[in-house]
Amino acid sequence: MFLFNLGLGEFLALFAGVSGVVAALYLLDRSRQKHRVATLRFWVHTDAPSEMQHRRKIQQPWSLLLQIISLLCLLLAIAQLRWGSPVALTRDHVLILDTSAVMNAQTGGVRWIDQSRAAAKAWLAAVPKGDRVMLVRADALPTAATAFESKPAVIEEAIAQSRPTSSALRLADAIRFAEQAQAAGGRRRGEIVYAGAGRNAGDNLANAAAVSNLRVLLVKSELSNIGFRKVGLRRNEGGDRAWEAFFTVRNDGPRPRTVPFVLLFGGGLMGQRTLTLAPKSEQSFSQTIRTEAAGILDARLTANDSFPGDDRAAIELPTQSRLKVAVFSDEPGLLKPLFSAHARFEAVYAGVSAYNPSVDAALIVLDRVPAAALPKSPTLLIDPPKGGPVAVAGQKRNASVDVWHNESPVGAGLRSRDVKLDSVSVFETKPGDLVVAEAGGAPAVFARSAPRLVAIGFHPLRSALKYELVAPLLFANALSWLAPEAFLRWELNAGAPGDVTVALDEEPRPGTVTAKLDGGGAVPFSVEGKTLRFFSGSPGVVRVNDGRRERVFSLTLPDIAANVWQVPETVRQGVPRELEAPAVARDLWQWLAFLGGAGLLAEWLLFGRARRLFLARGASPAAAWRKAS
Amino acid sequence: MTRAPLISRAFLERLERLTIHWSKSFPGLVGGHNPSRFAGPGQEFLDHRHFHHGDDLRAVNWRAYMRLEKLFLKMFQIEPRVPVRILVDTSESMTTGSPSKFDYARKLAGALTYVGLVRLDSVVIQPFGAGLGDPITASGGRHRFSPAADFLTALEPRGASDLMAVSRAFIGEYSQRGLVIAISDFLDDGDVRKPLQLLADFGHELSLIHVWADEDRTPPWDGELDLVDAESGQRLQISFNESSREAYTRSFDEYSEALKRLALRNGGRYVGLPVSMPVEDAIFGPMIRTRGVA
Repeated sequence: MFLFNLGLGEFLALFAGVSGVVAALYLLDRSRQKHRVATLRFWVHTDAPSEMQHRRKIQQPWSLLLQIISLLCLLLAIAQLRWGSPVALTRDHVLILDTSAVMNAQTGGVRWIDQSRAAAKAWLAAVPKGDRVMLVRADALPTAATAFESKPAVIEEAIAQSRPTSSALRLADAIRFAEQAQAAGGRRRGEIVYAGAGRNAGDNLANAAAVSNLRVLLVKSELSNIGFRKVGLRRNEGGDRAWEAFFTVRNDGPRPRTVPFVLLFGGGLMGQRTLTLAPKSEQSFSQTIRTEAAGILDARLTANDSFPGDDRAAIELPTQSRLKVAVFSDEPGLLKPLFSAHARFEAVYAGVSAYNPSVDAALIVLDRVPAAALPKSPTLLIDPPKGGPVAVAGQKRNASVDVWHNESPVGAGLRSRDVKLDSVSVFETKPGDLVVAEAGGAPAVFARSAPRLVAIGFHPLRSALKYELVAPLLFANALSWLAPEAFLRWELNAGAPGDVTVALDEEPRPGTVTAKLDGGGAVPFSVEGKTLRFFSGSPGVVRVNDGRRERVFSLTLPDIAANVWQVPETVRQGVPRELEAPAVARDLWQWLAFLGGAGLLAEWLLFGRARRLFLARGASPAAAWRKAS
Repeated sequence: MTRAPLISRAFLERLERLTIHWSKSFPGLVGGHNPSRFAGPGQEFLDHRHFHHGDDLRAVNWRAYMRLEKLFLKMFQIEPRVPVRILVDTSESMTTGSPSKFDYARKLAGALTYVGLVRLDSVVIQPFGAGLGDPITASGGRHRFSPAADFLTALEPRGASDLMAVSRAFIGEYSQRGLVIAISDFLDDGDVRKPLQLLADFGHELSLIHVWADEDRTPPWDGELDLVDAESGQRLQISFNESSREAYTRSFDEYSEALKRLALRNGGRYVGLPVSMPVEDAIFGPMIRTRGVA
């Protein structure tokens, strides 16, 4: 018999304190009551013998005894008195079941996860009755599948429902999680059992040998596997409507392998080669894919190995739509080189007289067009004449653009030497307009958000500026600001779920970066300098957009950990015949609490105020009057 | 700070219809509203008798003389104006209990005084303790109630009670017989029956209003008690339990019964009132039932 919650000293101190308080209250309650009465005439007729003569202090010893015994019972209940030995407490075990991606591998036709399940169930059968077990599913993130359960059927059900995921195992995190769960469980610590293949992505397993209650149930895990580790696609920077595909293939097996690689797109063969990989090595290669169509790019390795999950990678290529540009100019030859230089533009040229504000185009260029009204689409106005929708304040002869506002997105990176222009139109801007360049202190180039337009007060390709670098850059900035989707670059990556690190082109401004799931939900991420990080625990597609480049991460490849844990000799392994079976300690607190409550109730009824209340109610004034009068 | 009135106006209005009643006829008293067995110059016809020398000729029934040729004298019922004296116990024993018996007695005395004043009775409020205190006489109608109420309000309890000394002093002070309404807890160290019997023997009609607190009849305490007599200061240490309580209540009831028997035996009235019963309920309940007022 022992106290679970309190030490003996603590219990005795509490009991002494409570008993002292009860005795003091008792003596205070049972001390001689002083009353002032109208007469002593009738009192002398009461012949109850005074107990004061015999007991100086305690008048109702049974009441005091009952109170103290009741409080003793309640204190023992609070202290959780148990029948049995303190060392015979039941224990809390944690069963870590490896559900990393590699558990889908097979050996001898049996999947590793099935081997692990069988080993876990065998160990569960050896757990003594009364002990509790928590099942933790371990991959990149340890997850408790059950609470501490004393019913083996619940654990077995959870084991049967465990499935391999796409991420790699981080065993150190799982062991730490198990230790914390045991500490919080409040019972004796039982075993921490790991059932799995021991292929670990983390590198902090050096401390695992120090975990004294660790047991390892390793499965037969000879991995003869060759598969994709990374797949990436990027639009060819040359703008020739081509994709550059990158592949990384790894051979995890102990022998060199030669496997055929084929690349399919829309059911057609886009490329093939034969790969030869040394044991435990990786090989990267690239392939150019020329297509504008959208579709599934399917890369396959005909490996016929023990882990078929990483022998195929599929990436969905987006549609490469072209931006329709309507150019109204009497000198289209000046502008044609600009739009033909970018593959995403599809320009249509027309004379100034053919201008119609309702023209159907995503971007409209008006070269010295005397337009009465602006179109609805974003517009680039080149040297607009007076009287148009953009207010021209005047003309400056032999002027130069002396100020470029580099802080505005249209004027970013622009500067020019002191180049004289024959004629420069200056504008009257409105509040909210972005002034890009000034000539003689007046706006010569400005951008307006609503309606979206950029107005240039001179023709860059007809003036002396046409020999300067600032001329194409100004067009590039203006078109990028007017039609950012045309300049958006794409990058597609296939990888494994888990931590993903993205290298950005430049340090992004706050609020310009988004990371979203394919379904639209936001993904939490952090940005540090030019590095963006996010975590995806489950397979899916995540899109990261920094305004200039959209990166699509197809996190569907299984993450195969390269390291195989060499289990230290000090760590117990295998399923035991039977775990040490402690005798079960029996809880008595329920009975003690009941006895304590019943004792206090009995004392209250027999000696306490209940009796006095009953007496007071029995002597009602009305009854007294009837009797006396 | 203004004191709360002894009796509320609404209660006084309810008291207007009541009359103090007594049973006895007191010789030599005329006026008033209670009928008397004595003949006299009243309004109500009582009887005939033979004429004697010296009788008032105005009372001769001349019609009977014309018919019978004998002189008969008509006798009329007199309405005596009986003095009503209210004895109010001001001893310390009246201060025990909650609410205070003393306050209760003052309100009761005030109510009865008002009833008497409405019927043009002459009411003497006579406080007593170890002896008789200074009295006040209220007469002449309801508008004379205010001095009586002030007198009652100004009363303060003090000292012990000695009913034997009070009775003797009362007989010496008030030679004219009348109605004596004693409002008290009748808790004297001596036997209160003797002084009350003395008053009855002297010719007063006794109306005993026995006032008690609930704890006077059924003490709610248990265990070891240290009791202090409110009047004498004597102490008594006693162990009190359920059987003791029953014995105590039995003694109290026997004492009340003895008082009741004494009052009824002498043609008077007895009303026992616990202070938990409101004064208004006491007047319109037990007091009317025993015909102390009607």
